[in-house]
Amino acid sequence: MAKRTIIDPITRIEGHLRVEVEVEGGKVKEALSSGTLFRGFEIILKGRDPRDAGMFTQRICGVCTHVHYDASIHAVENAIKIVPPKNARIVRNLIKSAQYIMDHIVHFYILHGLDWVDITKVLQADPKKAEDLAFSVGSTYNAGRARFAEVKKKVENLVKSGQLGPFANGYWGHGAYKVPPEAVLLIVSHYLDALEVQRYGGQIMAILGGKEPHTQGLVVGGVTCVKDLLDPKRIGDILFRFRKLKEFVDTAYLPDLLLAGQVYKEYGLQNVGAGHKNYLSYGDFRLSDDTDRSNLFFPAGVILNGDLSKVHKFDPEKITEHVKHSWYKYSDETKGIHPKDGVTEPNYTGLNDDGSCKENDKYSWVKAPRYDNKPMEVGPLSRVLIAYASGNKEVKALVDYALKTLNAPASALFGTLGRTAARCIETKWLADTAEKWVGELVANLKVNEETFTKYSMPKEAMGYGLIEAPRGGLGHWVSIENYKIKNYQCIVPSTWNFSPKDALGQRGPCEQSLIGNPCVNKDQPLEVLRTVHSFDPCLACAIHIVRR
Amino acid sequence: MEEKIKKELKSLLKKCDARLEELEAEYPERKGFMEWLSFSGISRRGFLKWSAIMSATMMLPPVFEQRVARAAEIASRIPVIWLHFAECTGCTESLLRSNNPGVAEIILQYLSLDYHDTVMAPSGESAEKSLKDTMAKYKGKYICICEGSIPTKMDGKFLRVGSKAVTGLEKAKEVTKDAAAVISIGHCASYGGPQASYPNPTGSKSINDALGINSVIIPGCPYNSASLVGTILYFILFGKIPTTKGGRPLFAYGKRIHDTCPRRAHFDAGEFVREWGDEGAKKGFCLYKVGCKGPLTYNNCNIQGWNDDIASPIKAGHGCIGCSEPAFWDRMAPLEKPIEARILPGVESTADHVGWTLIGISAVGMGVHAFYSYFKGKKKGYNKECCSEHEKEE
Amino acid sequence: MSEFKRVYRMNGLLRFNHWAMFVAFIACAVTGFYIAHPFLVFETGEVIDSYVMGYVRLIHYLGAIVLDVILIIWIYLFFFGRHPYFKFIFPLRERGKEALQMLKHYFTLDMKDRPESDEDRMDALNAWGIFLFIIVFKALMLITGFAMLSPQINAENTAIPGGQYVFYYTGQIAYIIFGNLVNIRIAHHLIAWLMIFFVIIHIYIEIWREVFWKEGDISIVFSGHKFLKKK
Repeated sequence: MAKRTIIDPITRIEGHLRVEVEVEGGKVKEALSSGTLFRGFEIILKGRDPRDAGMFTQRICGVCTHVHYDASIHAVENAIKIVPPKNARIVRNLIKSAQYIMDHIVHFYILHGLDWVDITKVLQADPKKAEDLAFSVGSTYNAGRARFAEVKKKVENLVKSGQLGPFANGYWGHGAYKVPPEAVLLIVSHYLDALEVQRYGGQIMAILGGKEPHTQGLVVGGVTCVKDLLDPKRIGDILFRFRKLKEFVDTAYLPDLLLAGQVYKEYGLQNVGAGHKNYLSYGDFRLSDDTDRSNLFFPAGVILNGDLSKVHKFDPEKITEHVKHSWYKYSDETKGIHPKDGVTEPNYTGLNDDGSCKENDKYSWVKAPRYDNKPMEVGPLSRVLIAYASGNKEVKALVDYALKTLNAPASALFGTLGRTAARCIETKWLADTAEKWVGELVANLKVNEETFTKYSMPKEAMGYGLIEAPRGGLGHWVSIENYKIKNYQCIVPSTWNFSPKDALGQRGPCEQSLIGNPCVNKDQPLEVLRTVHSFDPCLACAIHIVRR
Repeated sequence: MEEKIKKELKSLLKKCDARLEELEAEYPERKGFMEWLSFSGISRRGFLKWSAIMSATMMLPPVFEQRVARAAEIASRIPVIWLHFAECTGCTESLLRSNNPGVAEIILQYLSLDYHDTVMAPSGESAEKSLKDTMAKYKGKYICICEGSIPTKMDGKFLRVGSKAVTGLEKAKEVTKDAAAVISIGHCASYGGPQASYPNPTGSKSINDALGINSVIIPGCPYNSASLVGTILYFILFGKIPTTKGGRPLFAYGKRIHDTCPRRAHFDAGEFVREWGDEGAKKGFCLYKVGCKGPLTYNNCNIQGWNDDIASPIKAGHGCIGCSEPAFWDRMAPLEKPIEARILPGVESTADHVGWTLIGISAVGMGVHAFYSYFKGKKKGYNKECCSEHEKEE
Repeated sequence: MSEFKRVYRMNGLLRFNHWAMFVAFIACAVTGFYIAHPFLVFETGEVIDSYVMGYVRLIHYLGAIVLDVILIIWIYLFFFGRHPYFKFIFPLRERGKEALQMLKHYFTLDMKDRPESDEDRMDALNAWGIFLFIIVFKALMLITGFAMLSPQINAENTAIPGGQYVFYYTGQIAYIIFGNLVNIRIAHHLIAWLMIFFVIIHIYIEIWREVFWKEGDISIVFSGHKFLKKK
């Protein structure tokens, strides 16, 4: 066995993730991903009021803070069989879309960007040329040579001061950094703008949900922010902020992404980090007020083996979870169990003596969910591909535009670059639509101010909430007994993406994507990080799982 | 009286100046702080204005504004190590969202944040190198900010970090040992967080409990970023921060939500939201009846709002859930019902239920006793007997 | 016919104390339940038109002041009062037998079990009840109440100089006993129920005595006298 390179902590993600790779001849031969923290939310939820579950599960993750809340509320509503009023539905969509836009911007510029651009190259950049470049690609947000000169000077000062803070010990000068200096200057300048702009997303969520992170404005049956909805100033605040976000997406995010995409085109053409090419989307953003999840903004579906010509129908009953390589115990570990009646006991078997994972034994706190016994990738790429394959006009136009700019075929979307690009396409798609929803909300408020559906809590019920989080499909299953939670389960996006091997020996999507990934320098596994980051890992989500 | 106050203030200022000078000597100057600000769209004037706001937030007199500005400049030189344990990164997100005061984020971004999992460039061993370098270079001088609680069951192996797979507990001990100050932020680090609520399967403990230290805690789920900035500046100005009995900074956690609530007038008027989305909710009535825990919670949400002071949970029509109070997950549940609906541990029912049961028992007991007395008394010829007894004696 | 001896049990001050407590307790109980469960909801839309909770809380505080002052006087008299009555209420073991006997009497209804009581002494059980209610329950209510009120009290809005410290440090005792504000709040609520429970039992026993002893026990609280059957 070759000596494995252990990358732990993986930074610029949410939570604690470790990746171990075996590198041979500049390529990754074997990869393991392991969640290294366990919290046990589902044990804690037992016996509590179902209405409190949202608040609890929200604390699973502070980055995709709102979505767990939303999923949990959906699950309880599904269990007691009510539908929130139209206003509440639109408000929830608005909060979630603000979350998506903000989250994706933060991911691209702050978390993922440093994998693609070498910040020290700014020193060689010419602000004048950067300006020309910015206007030629349409990346005009806060662009101009004065601004770029300022940014450059700033970075110079930072480098000169020697106190690099968070940028110290980065893999600067690594051969895999290919973005030219002027483009780096442009992107670094937008990195700083992104810090400003992402706050608008937080503010929209705060206006409608009280605060962000951890919004507090949803209740089972509706939303609470009715006073703000009836206040024209607050609606104006929201609209203004959505426009700001849209402006940033149009004139910075999308052009910057395409600029970087052109540089790294071979990544797409070679399908680096493509993995299993199985894609799953639960579908989300309800567009009509009914229970059957039929009219959705993000369509639900399954794509198998990268076959874009056929979108299979999604069936929640086919989801199972394996624990063969996870630190849990089943009576029969060769089979997966549906989350509805899963059993789990923590069963920690430890690591090797040198601190590496036991490859053939259990090695992660993340369970291995499988759809129809196949590992599935979830996330923006899945959503965009499924929408694209099922013929959504808006998405088709956006994807085609991106592919045309990059001069690449649709198959280039599979992989690391595609994941990053799909995230941006989705952001644009949502940013374009969110404003319309605000208009719809205002129009509806004129005729109907209802924001809450009355209900009585049943003594016994069962329900599930399937939504899409920025990182992928999120499912909560709740069963209520004696007005209290009897059993609560979640399968979160990063459980899908960062799952260890299952009983059949199939690698998890991230592990599989890492196989064959280039890795020139074992001590600076930059290319590995790119692929890992392209999934936007959110490990706190993945490792809370414990079921009884 | 006035003389005395003046004198005290003078000595305080002197102390503060001496400390600032000492710190300025201790930490090498970082050039270009003002440039960072100006390039982020903040002028010198704006910076001073921010200093004034921050002084007010920390409840300091205006004479401190200049010193706050100076402290902010020093803050940009103090190395900060930000550790993540069992947490959700919400506290880091809260930091990213801070806008008002706008400079706060800049300072924190460039607070010489030498180790921070979520924003730092390097990963794996390089990241660990950053940590080791900072700890060696600034031994006893860096600020350690802890986010998340520490699992203690199973020897802490519910959390293992780094290529050597040390447990969270070991890492925390190692880093906090040489820190100039330790600040625990968020509910998890302060009190254990949701994972520490009943039945606490991982044995999670707060930083102070797990390590046996006495750090300043900034609770909240997540905390309000202004409180963290204020605490750091306060620390630089005076070296020590006045705290409440529980260890929370007094300037942020000295008042109850209920006493600073924008809806307080409706409480006094007896106007309550009875159900979500009803007429009361539209008019912004008090949320007491739908489970607001403001009367039991110390925090500054209403003074220093969330996300650029734009909102707070109460403003958005949902009551406070008490997220800056210890063990609020257990004590304040159910979160959307008044505190009277709390299921008391041991008896598994509410206080009112216990009360009515007591009344019921007393009613039944009295009834039984009355009948018993009546019949037994009759049988025994109670009255007659006693009378006749007396008569006999006579 | 048996002969009766008219005995003096409660002097004017004690009777005043009883009725003051009666009024204050009812006021506190009723307003306390309103504060816990605000049932009247006024939707005038204008805060200036109503001040319901404000007044209710005012009444609650006024009642609490009466009860607290009574408590403090009792504690003072307990230590410095010259009348043996105030020491008598403290539950000492030596009078345990007497109290048990009284309890036994309530169930056996046998006059022989009834402990002797003479002019200026009530029975031990009764005295202990007074101790429990006036000293223990009310002291707990006082400290828990102060603990809840203390955040609102500062140097500007307290009538007594240094009042904020009184509230703060008294409240701290509650924190030591109950641990945190939530428990304090619940304890305040539970003790209120216990007090109501106690009052109901108290009223029942007084009526029972009146009916079965036929010694005019209820008139004690009006005139201060009752009649003891001569033996």
